[in-house]
Amino acid sequence: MRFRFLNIGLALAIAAVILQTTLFDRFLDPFGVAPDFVLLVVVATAYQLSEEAAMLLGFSAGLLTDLLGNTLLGVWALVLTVIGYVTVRIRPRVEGYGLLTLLSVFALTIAGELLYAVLGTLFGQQVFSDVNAFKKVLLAAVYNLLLALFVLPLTARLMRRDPAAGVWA
Amino acid sequence: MLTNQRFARSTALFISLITLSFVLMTFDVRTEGGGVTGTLRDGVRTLFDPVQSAVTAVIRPVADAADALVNLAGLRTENDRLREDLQEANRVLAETEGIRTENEVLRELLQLELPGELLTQSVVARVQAGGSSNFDFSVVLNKGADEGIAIGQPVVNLEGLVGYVDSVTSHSSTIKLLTDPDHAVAVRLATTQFVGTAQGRGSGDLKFISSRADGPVEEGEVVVTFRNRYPADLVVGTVAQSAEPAAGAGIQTTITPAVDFERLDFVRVIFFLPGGDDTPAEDEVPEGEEVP
Repeated sequence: MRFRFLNIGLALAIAAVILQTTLFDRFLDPFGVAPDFVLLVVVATAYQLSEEAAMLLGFSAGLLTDLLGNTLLGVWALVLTVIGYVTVRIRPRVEGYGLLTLLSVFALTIAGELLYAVLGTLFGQQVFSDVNAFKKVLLAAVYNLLLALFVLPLTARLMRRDPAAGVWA
Repeated sequence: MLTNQRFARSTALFISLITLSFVLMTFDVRTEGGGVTGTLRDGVRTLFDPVQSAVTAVIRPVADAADALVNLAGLRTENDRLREDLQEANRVLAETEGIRTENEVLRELLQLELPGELLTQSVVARVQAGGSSNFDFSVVLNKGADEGIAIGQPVVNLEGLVGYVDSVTSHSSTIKLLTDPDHAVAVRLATTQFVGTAQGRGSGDLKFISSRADGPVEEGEVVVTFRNRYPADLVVGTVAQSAEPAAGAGIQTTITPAVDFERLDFVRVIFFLPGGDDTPAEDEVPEGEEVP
């Protein structure tokens, strides 16, 4: 039982990475921009996990994204680790407020994408050379906000646990 | 106490994961995507390839339909984009016309009529750079010793004589232009057969001096090379001004070069080196022109 919720989270993250590379990047990218579905799933599952589990989940999902994509190995791992950590930290402030939770998804998506852009640039990738870089960040955040309406309740339903029992407890 | 311990533990994990991420990034940069990270990538991709293929096969029809619905509202934007594409295509077409013209020039250059066997013993090259200053009368070609180019070989284009090869590397060569003040070439007037030298003046017309001319020369008379440094009968230019011989001093006038040196592009380097059978005896060479 100790790792049950983390395992569910990891399974969701792997599914998210596969969907990101197959469905969203290839077929569902309105206006040429796909949602950051992996980040959304990390945020959604992190709302249900402990701090450590959320970070491990973020790191694993990010590493898989890096390995399956053509990005520098470790960039998404770092970004999603941070996102997982921050999500858990802000959870007490937004929990119970639907609108605030959705807005947090929007803000975390922008923060994650920008962190990726900055890190990528620092490590020699031409992220900011993309003339549509800011449009992509903004649209991805909007898409994530819309998808969060479905993903957050679904994740909560799958991972809802006894609030008294922590994953690592 | 327990809370503090958990906080310390999560902080330690956070720092560890961040550090590990930075190590991975640094390692990936240093190995340029190869090494262990490359092997890891290959392995993971091999593992996930069938899964991704299967998922794509399943969702493709559905996704296509969904994509079409999502983009329905964007049809106007798509239409605008297509209009822009059409404009771009027209622009490319105009550029293609320029390329066609350039191609014709090259074809003509390839069929350039040159004396003797010179045409087969030559190579077409393209100007890739100009001189380094306003007082550098040379151009750099994109072909060099590897293509058979050697120092001293004459360079022509469709219009006429351009200059000669002044220096050469394996993949490029520097051409001293006819307009270089240090460059004098033995020439012959095609009609009157007067022999003289044409010397560069930096820009514009060349200076023509013939100490042996004993009659007038008319403006527009064609000037060709006299056998020496260059093969005979390459077009140099036309007489710019009519002139009468001065008593005991021959004729001095100017020649308008046939070549437009401002628009040099494709040229032909002829594998002709001075000193062959055509080289004139020393007493035939006009004053100012040296037998190499």
